[in-house]
Amino acid sequence: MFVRALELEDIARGGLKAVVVEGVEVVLANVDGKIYAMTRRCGHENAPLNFGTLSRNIVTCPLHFAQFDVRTGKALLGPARKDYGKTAAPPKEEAVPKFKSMLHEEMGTHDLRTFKVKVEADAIWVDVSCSPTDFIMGPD
Amino acid sequence: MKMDMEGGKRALREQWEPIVQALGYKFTPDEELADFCLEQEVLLYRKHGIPFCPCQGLTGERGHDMRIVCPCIPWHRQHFDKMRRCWCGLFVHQDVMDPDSLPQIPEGEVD
Repeated sequence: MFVRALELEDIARGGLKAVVVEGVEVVLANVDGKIYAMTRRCGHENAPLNFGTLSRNIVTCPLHFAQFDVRTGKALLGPARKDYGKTAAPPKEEAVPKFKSMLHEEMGTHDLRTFKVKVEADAIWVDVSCSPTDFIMGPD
Repeated sequence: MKMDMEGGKRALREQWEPIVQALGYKFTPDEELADFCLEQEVLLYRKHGIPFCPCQGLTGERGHDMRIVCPCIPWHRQHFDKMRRCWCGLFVHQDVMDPDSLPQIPEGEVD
């Protein structure tokens, strides 16, 4: 069931906006006038994606810079690793236990759940009842 | 589902396309080479968090290493314009249709 989530004028082109739809945290993304909806939490460590950046159809998480395609929720890249190459790591970094890195590897970065969107009467409507496997698209 | 190599390659391609276009370049029409270079870039990104040039070695000296972050065209403009391609061949001048005909010229031999 579609629920009125936001006024269309409240999200600029290239913008991200967080809303709550029937108790579900959702981020809306405006990609050249097309609206897409996905879960607000990053598929890596649950950071709020509305504080990230949107470049064309790719959203970058503000925490570890994992990247996702907002049209499909597909995890594309990341998280970015800290690597000092041939330079010695700062002492603080060396103190981080190795198992923490191992845990990060195990966690991976998962696809985002996406939701159906429609634009009607100058407002954005979102349906959060669709299954996580539904792909969805903004209005034409 | 976790991210995969194809997704990583797509992300880099989509983000770099408008950047290199503004610089007068495009992805090489040699799809096999483009795919291979992008795969190496994804591996470098996973290792370092930065997509360094896959064809040039890291020295550990930040000033040098940051000049080979892909797409590194702005830092090697004269060199690449002379070759009409970047060092790896991932990017070529927008009017290039036959990338195999473009030679690699060592940086020291560019006027």
